[in-house]
Formats: sequence, structure tokens, C-alpha cells
Amino acid sequence: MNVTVSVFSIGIALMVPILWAALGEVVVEQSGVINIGIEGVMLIGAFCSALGYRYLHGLTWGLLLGIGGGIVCGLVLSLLYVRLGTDQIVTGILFNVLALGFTSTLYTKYLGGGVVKTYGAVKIPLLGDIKYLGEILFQQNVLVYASFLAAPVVFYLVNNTWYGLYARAASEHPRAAETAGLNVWRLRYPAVIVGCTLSAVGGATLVLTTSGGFVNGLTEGRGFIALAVVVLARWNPFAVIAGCVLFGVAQALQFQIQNLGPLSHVPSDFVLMFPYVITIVAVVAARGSRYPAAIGIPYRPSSATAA
Amino acid sequence: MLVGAIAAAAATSSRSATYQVAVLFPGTSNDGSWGQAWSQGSTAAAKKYGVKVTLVGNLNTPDQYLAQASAFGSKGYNLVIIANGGVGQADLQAAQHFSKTKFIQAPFEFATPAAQKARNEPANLGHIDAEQQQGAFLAGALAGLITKTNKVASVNGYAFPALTRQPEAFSLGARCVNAKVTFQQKYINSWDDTALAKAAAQAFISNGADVLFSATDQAAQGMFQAAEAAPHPTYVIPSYFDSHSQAPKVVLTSVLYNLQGVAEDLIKLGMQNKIGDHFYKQYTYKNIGVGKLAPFYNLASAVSPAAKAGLAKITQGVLSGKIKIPDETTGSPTIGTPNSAAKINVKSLGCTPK
Repeated sequence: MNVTVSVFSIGIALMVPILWAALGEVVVEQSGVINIGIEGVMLIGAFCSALGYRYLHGLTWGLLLGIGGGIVCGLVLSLLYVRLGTDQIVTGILFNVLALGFTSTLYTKYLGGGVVKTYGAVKIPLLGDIKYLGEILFQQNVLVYASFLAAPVVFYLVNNTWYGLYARAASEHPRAAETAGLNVWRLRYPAVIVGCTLSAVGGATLVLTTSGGFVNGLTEGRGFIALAVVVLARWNPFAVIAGCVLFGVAQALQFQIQNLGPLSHVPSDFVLMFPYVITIVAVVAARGSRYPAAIGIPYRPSSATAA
Repeated sequence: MLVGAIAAAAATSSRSATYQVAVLFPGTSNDGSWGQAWSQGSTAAAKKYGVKVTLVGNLNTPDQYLAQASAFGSKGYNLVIIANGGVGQADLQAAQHFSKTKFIQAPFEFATPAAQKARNEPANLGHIDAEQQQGAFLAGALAGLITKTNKVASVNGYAFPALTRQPEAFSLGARCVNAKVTFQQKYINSWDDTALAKAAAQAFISNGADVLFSATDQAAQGMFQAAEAAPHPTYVIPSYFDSHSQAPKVVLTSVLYNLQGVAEDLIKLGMQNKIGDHFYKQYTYKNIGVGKLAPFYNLASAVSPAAKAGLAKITQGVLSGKIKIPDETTGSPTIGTPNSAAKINVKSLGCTPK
């Protein structure tokens, strides 16, 4: 495998957990909620998948328990963010801390040192034989392919369904949406639950395709990278893929830069910093474009307010 | 973090014991790595000597160590062992505040007497140093003897002298027996990031490396995954704990620093009131088996009789002093900074590479 192919192939593997999480965050934010607790959701998804593999003996069980963990996180967070109307920033941060403590405690008791078998690479017939591109894109594991398929599904959900349209209306002007007969809470609940489920799959992907087991703090800030990617991509799932590729390839590049002739003198730490610099630049450049107007603001229905 | 640390604390105690020891470390007591090795030794000492030992894992940052060390100091613990060589001033500050408690930082070694003086350490702060470069050197020699591609590599945690000496010594060991071998390394700045460790290992493998050394902690799991999926036979030599059972197809051996023995010895010395002012002790291959390699188990056939004989010869050379492995901070040359070993001529160490 030549060096360039190696960089992109490894970069794709590194980006996938972030891609799942970022797609989940797109769904959540397009309903008017910001989930800072995404890192904790990923961590719980990763932990549950390792637990599923360990005690139910199978990758599919691992994935299913990871998804289950995401659904539970979604239920809890939607209750807090939507129903109880807690401050979404504070709640998200506390959820991350709680998730780290929770998984660390249970890891020591139930998982310590356990090894998880990972999904192997699946070569797509014909496509996998294409020189360079085939090695990079079509000789990956099943969760990589699924993540690429998830992006158009999320795009369709957000932009082409009545639910997506209503949810976006609730993210812009929830009072007007309510006046039009929409139940804002009922639009936001499923968004948070679906978003958390996708983020948890990101955590499960780390365990089931990369790390071969759970370790404390496994996600190492990838949830926060996903938050940055969503802003960089302006809530467009296809742009999210591009943003994730940028992060993944930059991470992979640090391991091979010394073998890439003209770039061999660039410090690897600089390469690692590059996508973050791009993100800051993009956020500054995007200050003219705006977040959904009501994002992060708890909504009280007029009936509840009147009461 | 603190929540995790507190929750991860586990205590074993004896009602009759008055001597109290706290052991603070990164990782967990069952992580199959550094944390488990310290935990096993401390727990064994608790049973053997009837002391109260409290284990606190999942500690990573200096402030976490300072908070925990201070908490045990204020509770009147007799001995606090900080099993992390890279947490800055935490040991110093805790020792200054709680003069009745002995604090030991492991591993830590001063570069010069002047450096020691500059720290102005209180008498109740001591250090130990397990000469990890000896075991890493032997692992490197093994790698140099068995590599088919003449390319070996190392994935490391953080760059600080007590850690950096391990991959540097590994490279020296490989070059000591193999004049053609080349060495690459990467610091991933994490003990736990398995994904980054895997990516680093994949990059080295795609460049042809067939023996990988791990100087990180649980992140090594990612390296096992990369080696198992490698297009050519690839072996991993992890550190701190016998990791064979985690990946029997690729873990050739493990570098055992006998941290269990170090922990047990420290607690015994503490009980016997032999940890004096400004305590310092070196643990070596010779005095306590720091750096012994674990058995090859099912991979014994991957090491030819000639390679086994070569390794035995190098081991003998290290033990007899014919081969002199540089220290990370003292003497000249030193191997406490990244790539420092690359400048060293291995013949000057007593090696005769082929």
C-alpha cells in the first residue's frame, strides 16, 4: 500500500466514529436543541457495545446494546433538555462528566481488560479492485459503509420529510410553529433520541472496529470534534462527510508525514492542529450565516406558560 | 474525572494494621497494564504484611494527583506512592503540606545534583527509578533478531524522560544486533486512545514494520488489532504487564518491569521504617528483575533458536555490564529525549551488530 493510500485509508477509519456522532448532532440541532453531552453519549454507546460483546458474545449484540445505550441516553437527555427545560450547555457538560464516572466505575467492575473482536474489512466486488480509490473506500468494514449511507438518509430526513420541515420550523421560531398547530416538544423528543442513537453508534464503532475493547475515556474528545464539524459543515450531512474526512486524514497524516517527500519537514503536530484552525476560520467566516434561531433555548409551550 | 477517580478507588484493609499506604496510578486495577501491575503488587503486600492499602486509579492530570495525595496526607496515611513519572509538581506540593507522610514518586530520577537542589524537596519526598531501559533494550534486541523486513517501530504515550528512554532503548537494542534495521516512532499523547494507537501501528505496518513496541498503556489494544489485520506477519511487544492473553496471535512477549515487586518492596521498606529522608532507590534487572521478557507462549516458533541464543547473549551482556545502556538523564550520552538514541553509535555501548 503506498503512503498516500495508507493516509486516506487510515483517515477514513478514524473519521467514521466522528461522522456517526456529527450526523446525530445534525438531527438534534435541526430541531433547536444543542447536545453538548454528545461526548458522554458516545462514551456510553462504546461502553454498552463492549458490554454486549462481552456478555452476549457477538458483534451484533455489541452493536445492538450500543444502540440501546444511545436510546436510553436520548430518553434521559430529551427529558432534561425538552421536558424540564434545563440549560442545555450546563446539562450537556454535566452529562459528559457523569458518563465518564459512570463508565469508569462499571468498567472496573464488569469489563476491565476485556478484548472485543472487531468487524473485519469487507471488499466490495469490482469497486474494491479500483486502483487506489478501491483500497481507500471499498475495502472498509461494514460500519464505515453504513455511515456513508446514513448521511443521505439524514439529509432526506431533515430536508425532505414533513417531520424534518416541522422540526426545522421549531428550531427557528417555536412559538410560530406552535401557533401553526405543531407540538414543539413532540418534534424535539424524537430528534434528541435519534441523534443520541447515532452518536452512540459512533462510540460503538470505536469499540467494534478500531480499539478492540473499551478503555476509560475511550472517546478522547471525539464528540467535541463532531460538534465542531457540524458547525463547519453548516448542518449539511454531505458537508459533514467532507469535514470528517478532513479531520480523519489530518489525524492519519501525522503518522505518515515524514514519508511524504515535500511535506516531510512539516511538524506532525502542525498537521494535527490544521483542521482545528480550519474550523475556527470557518466559524469566523460563517458568522454572517446563523445557527437556527431558537437553538439551545428551552421552549415552554403556551399552555404550560399560562398554567 | 474526579468522579471517576473516586468511584474507581478500591480499598483493602486489615483491622489490626496501623500502617496505611495509598497507591495512585493511571489506568485501572484490572487494565492488563501499568495500573494492574501496581495494584497486584500493592494488594499482595497488603496481605503479606497486614497493612492497609488503598488503590486509586484513573488519575491522569497533576491536579488529580495533588488532590488525592493531599487527601491521604490529611488522613494521616504513612506512605503515598504516586505511580506516574509525568505529573510535574504534584508530589512536591503534597509533600510540602503533609510532612508526616512519606511520598514516593515512581519513576523519577534527577538529572544532576543541581537539579535536585533546585527542586528544594522536603525530606519526606522520595523517588524510585525502575531502570526500564534495560527491558526495552532487550525487547529491541529481540525485534532486531526476528524482523524479516528490518523495520521496527514504537508507539509511545507522552514524551518525558522516564517514558522516552523506553522506545529509545528499544531502538538501541534493535541496532545492537542488526546493522540494517531502521526504527520509526510516534508519540500519540495518550495512554488510552486505542484508535490513534491503531492508526499509528497501521501506518508503520504499511511502511513495512513487522515488530512493534508499545510504550503506552491500554492504547496498546489498538496496536494488537492493527497487527492482527496486517498483510504480513507482525508482532507486538507491549510493556508493563504480560498481555499475551489479550492477543495471543500477535503478542510475541511483553516487557515486564516487575512493578508488582517494586510496589511490594516499597511497602515493605515503609513498614520497616526504612524509607528515610530524601529516599531514593534504583530497581534494576539484576536486583529485582526489572525488564524481564515474558514467555513466548504459542509464538515460540516465531523466534528461531539462533535468535533465542542471540537474545540470551545480549541479556548476559547487559547483566554483566559488557553492554552499557545509557540512562535517560544521567551520564553521557542520555536517552531522555525523543530521537536521542539515533545519534548514539551502538558500538560505543559494547554492541557488535551484524
